[in-house]
Formats: sequence, C-alpha cells, structure tokens
Amino acid sequence: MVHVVAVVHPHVFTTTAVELLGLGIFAGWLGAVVGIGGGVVIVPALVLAFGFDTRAAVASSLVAVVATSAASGSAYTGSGQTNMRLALVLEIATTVGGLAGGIVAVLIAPKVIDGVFGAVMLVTAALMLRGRSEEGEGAEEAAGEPAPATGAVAPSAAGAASGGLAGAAGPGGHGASDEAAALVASGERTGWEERGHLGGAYYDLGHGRLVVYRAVRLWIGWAVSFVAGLLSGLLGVGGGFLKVPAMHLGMKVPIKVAAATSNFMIGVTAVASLFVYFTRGYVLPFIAAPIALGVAVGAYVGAKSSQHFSGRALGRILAVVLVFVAVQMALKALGIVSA
Amino acid sequence: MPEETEHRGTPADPRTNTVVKVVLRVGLTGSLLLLVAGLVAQLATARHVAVDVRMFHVFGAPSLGEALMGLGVLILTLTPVAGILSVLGNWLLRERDRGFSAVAAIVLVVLAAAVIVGFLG
Repeated sequence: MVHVVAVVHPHVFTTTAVELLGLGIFAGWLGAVVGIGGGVVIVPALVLAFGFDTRAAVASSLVAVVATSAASGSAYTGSGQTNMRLALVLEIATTVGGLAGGIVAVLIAPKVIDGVFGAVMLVTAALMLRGRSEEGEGAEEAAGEPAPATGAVAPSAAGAASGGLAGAAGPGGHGASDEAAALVASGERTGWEERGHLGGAYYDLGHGRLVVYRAVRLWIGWAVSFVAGLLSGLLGVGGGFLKVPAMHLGMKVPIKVAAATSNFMIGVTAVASLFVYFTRGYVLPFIAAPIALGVAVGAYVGAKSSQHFSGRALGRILAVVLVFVAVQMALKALGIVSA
Repeated sequence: MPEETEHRGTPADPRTNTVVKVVLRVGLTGSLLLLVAGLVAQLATARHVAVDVRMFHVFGAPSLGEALMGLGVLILTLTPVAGILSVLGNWLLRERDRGFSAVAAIVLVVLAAAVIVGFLG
C-alpha cells in the first residue's frame, strides 16, 4: 500500500495555504461564470505551479468537485429540477467508471495522467470555442432550450403547477401531487420528477411554460456516464461536460434538468474514486482544505457576479489558456519540462 | 431537443428532494466549518505539517489542525453518500418505490466496493 507522508515547514504551509485558497477562489469563480468545472484549472495549477504530485492534485480536485456538487446540487435539488431517479440510474455506470478511473490512476505513472489530461484539456478548449460560437449565433435551440410541452402552457407558475399536476396525478395519484403543486405555486419549487419512471416536469420561469419530459435511450446515458466517471477518477474533473450533452442530446432530457441532475451526479462520482485515493493516502488535507474552501467561496461569488462579466469573452480567454496549459502538461508528460 | 410527450405519470414525493437538500447543506456547512477551524488552528500553532491521512486515520493526526482538516475532508466526502442514503430511505419507506430503491442500493454497493478495493489494493 502506498503511504504518503508530507512534511511541510510552517512558513511554507502558511504561504501555500493562502495561495491555494486564492487558486480555489479563482477556480470556483471561473467555473460559475464560464460554466465549467474547476478541475481543468486546479489540477494543472497544482502540478505545474505548485509542483505537487499529479495524484495528490487529482485527489484535491475531486474534493473540490464534491464541495461544488454539494453546494449547487442542494440548490437545484431543493428547486425540484434535479431528477434523482435519473441521476441514480446513471450513477450505476458512472460510479463504476469512477472506481475504475481511481484504480487506474494509482497504478499507472503520473506522466501518463499528465498526457491524458493535456489531451482532455485540448478537447475541452475546442468544445468551449465551438459552444461559444453557437451561442454567438443566437442558436437558442442548439443551446438546448426545450420547446413548450404539449398543451401545458400556463400564464403563471401557480396555474402551471395546478394544471400540470392535475393531469399528472390522474387516477391513483397520491397526495404528493397536491403538495408538489403547492410548493411550485409558492415559488419554493419549479419542478418535480415522475414516480416509477425516468421522467418529470418543470416550470420554465424564463419562458413561462411547463416542460414535461421522459428520458429515452438509456444505453447512451450509461455508456457516456461510464466514460465520464473514468475520466473523473483519472483526472479529477467533474465530467459534466460529457454527462450534460449525453442526457440532453442523447436521452432527450431538457438542458436545465440535465445540468441540475449532472450537478448532483458529479459529487457522487467523485466520491467513488476519492475513496480509492483516500485509502491510498493521496488526499492531503493541507492541499484539499484551502482548495475546497476557496472553490465554495469562489462559486458563490461567481454565481452572484456572473451578470457583470461576459461569459463568452471569458470562455474564449479560458480556451486559449487551456490550450497553453495543455501543451505544458503534454511537455511534462514527455519529460521535456518539469514542474 | 426534448421529446414532447403526453406522459404525465404520478409526481414523486417532493419531500425526497427536500430531505436531500437539507442533508447536502448540513454536510457541506459542517465540513467547511471544520476545514476553516483546521486551517486556523494549523496556522495559529505554526507547527510542521506531517500528514498521514489514510482513511479513518484522521483521529490519530499529530495536531488539532490536521485532525480537523482531515475530518472536514472526510465528512465532505461522505456527504453525497448520506444524500443517497436519505433518497433510499424515502423511496423505500415513504414512496414504496422498490425498483428505484434497488437502484440506489446498487450505487451504495459500488461506493462500498471502492472503499474495499482501496484497502485491498
């Protein structure tokens, strides 16, 4: 069993803790504003700038992923947009992938992880540039806004809730429908999931309509979720960049539900591989603690201030930075540069 | 594009999501408080950081700061697991949705396997 013991001088610890806190705040803020997980920023920074072992960096990033997921996941879950049934069905594949990723990561050489990370960063940068260009063309449909559900347009949340759920409960429906309708009407919730099925509904406040959905092609979700879990365990990223498109484009789940469900899922997935890192001694609290704290603060500030920044412009800048860092990681993997 | 559908099914019990929300918030808040306390204690005592944080060894940490930080990370890690446990309890006891209860149980088994694999590896 690998046994990691890190000894750090007090002065170094103080300085490093402040720097790590700053890194976490920046990563959390950027993630909230641009819409990506902090892992693509945290892992390369810890490896290239701080010189930490890649696996310790991945483990710290996974702790930050759990913190992010708990924070945003609780908000989405409370609003009813998270589909817990869909999340846990897909989690069967994702946690297996995460476990596999964690096992592979502790067995292979760190430079292999560096190389894979560089490749994934390049793909992420390309997807960001592509996504931003579609956004710039004003393609709302491409961005995933769902069409109104059949016969379910209502002038108000209260009307949508009572009308939609009246049809939803039907014969044999239980008292939950009344309670759900009351919660939506009071503004406490905007959605609900369907009992016994991978479906549900939510009230789209922006467009003033009720969206009813049911997931299809589960095999696509499982296949992509496994790969997302594998990458999460291997690289310390959330994997939402794979899960959300798979749910939305592959399984026909509305983008808002897919994003909310993914937010809950990334935390559970991270835990699967984090257990392996934990038991092997790669989770170092003096790295993970300030990073997790910083990410939580940064994500909160980012969510509050996102309207003051151009996500499109920041996304383009970040994509360029990701390409640069990806090259650095690739060079480190090849042994051409050292951290 | 999501499929337009006439499926309206039976809405699930909204209390499940509410319980998960509370569990996640309590776990996150508790762990962040421990992380802050651990960092402050560590910085205040200004001792060398000698970290041995294999799972469940946090209680044997050489300083209060390290113990608090390790415990904070451990609680944060267990928070999503507690969320799934609360979902399982609600689906099984309140909604009597045995199919999806089994799904939640399978996820918990995989997570337990991760701990076992880590120790055995």
